[in-house]
Amino acid sequence: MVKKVIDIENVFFYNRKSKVEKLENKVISNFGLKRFLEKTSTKAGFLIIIIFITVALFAPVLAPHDPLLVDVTNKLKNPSLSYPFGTDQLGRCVLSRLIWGARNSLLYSFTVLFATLMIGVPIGLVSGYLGGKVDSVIMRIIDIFMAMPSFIVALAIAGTLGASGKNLVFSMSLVYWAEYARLSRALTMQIKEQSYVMALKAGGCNDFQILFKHVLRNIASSIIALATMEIGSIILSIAGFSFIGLGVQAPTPEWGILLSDSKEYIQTFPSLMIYPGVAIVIVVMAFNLVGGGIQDGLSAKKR
Amino acid sequence: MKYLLKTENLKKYYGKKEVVKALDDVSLAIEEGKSLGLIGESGSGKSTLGRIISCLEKPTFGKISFMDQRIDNLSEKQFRSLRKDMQIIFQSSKGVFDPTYTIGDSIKEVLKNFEKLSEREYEERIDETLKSVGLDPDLKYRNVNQLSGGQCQRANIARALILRPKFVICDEPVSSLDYSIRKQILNLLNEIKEKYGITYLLITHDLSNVSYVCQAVAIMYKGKIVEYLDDTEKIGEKVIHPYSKILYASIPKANPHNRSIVYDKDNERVSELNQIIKGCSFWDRCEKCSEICKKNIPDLKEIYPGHKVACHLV
Repeated sequence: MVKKVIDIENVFFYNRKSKVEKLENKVISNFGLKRFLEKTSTKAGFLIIIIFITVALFAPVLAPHDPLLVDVTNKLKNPSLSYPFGTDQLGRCVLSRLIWGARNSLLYSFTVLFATLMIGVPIGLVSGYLGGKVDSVIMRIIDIFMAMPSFIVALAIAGTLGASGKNLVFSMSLVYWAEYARLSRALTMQIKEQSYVMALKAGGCNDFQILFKHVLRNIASSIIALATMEIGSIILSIAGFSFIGLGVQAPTPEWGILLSDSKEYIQTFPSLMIYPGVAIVIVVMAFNLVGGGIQDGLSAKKR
Repeated sequence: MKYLLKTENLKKYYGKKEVVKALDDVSLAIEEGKSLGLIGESGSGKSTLGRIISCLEKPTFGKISFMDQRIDNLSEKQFRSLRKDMQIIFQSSKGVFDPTYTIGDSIKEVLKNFEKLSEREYEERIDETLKSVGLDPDLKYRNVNQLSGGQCQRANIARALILRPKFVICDEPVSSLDYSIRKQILNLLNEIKEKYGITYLLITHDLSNVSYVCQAVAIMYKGKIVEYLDDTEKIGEKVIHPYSKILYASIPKANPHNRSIVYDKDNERVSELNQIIKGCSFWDRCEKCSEICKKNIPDLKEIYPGHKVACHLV
């Protein structure tokens, strides 16, 4: 009788243990997120990113005023209770414009990132996996796109299709995808040599399964690392292109536009320029911290 | 007599300028229920043969038939349905499982490729197979990095067995394991063979493995089969080919005074596959080499029933 009780306990314990183990493995295999968040700087970066994304998502709720509402009688006011960051040269609320600016800047950057990943990664996967002639043709095409300077392409597209946020996303995606294609090709070629790929083939998996269920999963963490490092520079580029008038157009609130709008007041009213500048610096830094943390985590995993 | 697998004049050449003959005219026949051990030194082409038979690579020339069906000219798609009956166990290493998958998911994927069952039936089948190879079913929730070498190899065997194949190619199944675990795994292979009626092609360079699992043995040298024996008891005393003799003499003896190997240092040469040799591939290392050996390639002749040797001198 006593033995039976113990057995039941054992079974219960085993079931629970296996469930916990299952969960733990899921978390770990989710690209090893656990390890990336170990460092304080990465945690801080992650927190900042989450704050900015939340602000961007809830911009309509959080912004105290309409960012486009012009009230010239109220222009260039110092911070007050109703205008926490003051007003700009047209009497618009700076805080509202910053909040909406976060939404636009992040939206455009993520769109560029998403588009480049969607184009670059599958091309790199197929190129690396098939090899041979297909690979050399694709590589030459990638070389062509790598050779194009993003500034010239943005200029050309703004000149032919007109300067707008959409066209800027298009021209940046056109240049940046090649980098991801190249990285995922190199990583795929590495994974292809692993013996489990042959084992999968012997187990009856077709090429599609091998590529998108196994190879992609194995290279995902490295690509995510590159993407988080890169998104900072994408945010900077979008702000930069908008600043010189090749991207998002005024009066849309976007950090680059905020900067360029305020450039005439740099001596008389410098805070107009400082706020969006600081916002850009903080977000880019946060993304770099997280990207660096992920890369550290990856190299630790490899060791 | 019914043959499960038959290869005829199988050739595999690598490279364009400097041709490496990994396989040179290999004809083999494996009967159902009669596992074959394939022995040879490193670079003799035995793993290549395994990969070609399992259609992971295409032969340069020759015919392979499996269960009375020619398979060497099938495309990967056409061959897929036959993979259910022919599985391969790779040399054990952590690399044989996708590190981002749990063991259970890796095994399930193979099963899902061939059989449509309910989620519950999948789990039951995996648990049953893991038990049959002596693993705790709870290990299916683990990643490959959380398994020991022996467990990993058992999981590897479980993955090959989950489809209940008729024919399993074992490519050096124990060579990267500890001696203590080797015997366990070989015994396991033996048990499974009797339980499910599987025929093995055991590829190994460890001579002592063969008599555990196999009923026939083939010895390879430089991409050729030099000797075939239908019987695995006391192989060392029965072999005739000079290479097989050297191979068997090289088994370490427990008593150092009984060392039988006498090896002429001057004759020691690295066997390179790309070395073009006329005649018998072994003449440059053979003690009894005569003129005819340097001119003609010996055929695999049957000298006793069930005993074939490729040598001019027998």
